[in-house]
Amino acid sequence: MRDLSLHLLDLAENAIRAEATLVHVLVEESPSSNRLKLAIIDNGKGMSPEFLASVKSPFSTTRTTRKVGLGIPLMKATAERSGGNLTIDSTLGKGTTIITELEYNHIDRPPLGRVEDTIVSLMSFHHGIDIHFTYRYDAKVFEFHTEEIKAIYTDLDYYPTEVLAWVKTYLLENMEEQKSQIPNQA
Amino acid sequence: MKVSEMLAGAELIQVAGESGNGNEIKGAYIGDLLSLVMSRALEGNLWITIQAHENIVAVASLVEVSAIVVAEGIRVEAGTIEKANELDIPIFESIAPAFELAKTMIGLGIQ
Repeated sequence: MRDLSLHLLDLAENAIRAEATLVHVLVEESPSSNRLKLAIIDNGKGMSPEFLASVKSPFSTTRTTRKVGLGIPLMKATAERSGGNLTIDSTLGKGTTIITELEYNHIDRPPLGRVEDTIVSLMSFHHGIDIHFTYRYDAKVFEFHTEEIKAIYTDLDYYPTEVLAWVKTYLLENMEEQKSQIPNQA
Repeated sequence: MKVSEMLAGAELIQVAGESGNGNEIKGAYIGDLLSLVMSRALEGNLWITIQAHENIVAVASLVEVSAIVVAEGIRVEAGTIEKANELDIPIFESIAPAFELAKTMIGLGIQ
């Protein structure tokens, strides 16, 4: 995959297939500590230890029995190639947390890509699922919850196109803003 | 062979670094894992890759490759173009896969 936002989309789709009603997408850029952390946290049905072992292996099952794609093995390979790792914590009936840590300045680390597109894609295909998005750049944090948008359009079971376009711009502007702020002078 | 001569014989679209078109091409290297390219590509090589983010310019500058060809119809990002123009590194786009590009370059006499 060409950039990390596509990996995130893939893992978030897994979470939705696992019957999650809430998917939390977390992106933490920490250039100051040379870390990039990505997380997908869902409240879906979770995975048994046996199933967890199978999703980590790219060769575990055929497509007919494989309930998830190659998202996890691919993300794991990307993380390890970038001086990082991928950890999964999953409880049956509770949900799954997938955390990917990468070395921020590693030459083989793929670019983050368009995270705003990831969030908007999830929204446009899964109106019924709530998405929480946390973006951190060093000490600056920005939060976005789809419930805020739904509260405005209570009579619709979809997001109008112009709303999705607005969300995309809104996310992009806020992410840029976190990056551009000069740290407070002590 | 100069980059400009190579360009005349291949179907490429130049997106950056015209100021480096006088660079002499000495052999070629194909690779997408930047750390490996850094350690294996040689000065003057024409570098064929599918990576298009700005790190390719950093690697090209470090190794001193003569030019970069981005294969498979992948579009080069704006930030990459900007950096390449600053550092006079020619970058070309091609719809051809790396193997086809290699055959073309061999046909032009690049060894």
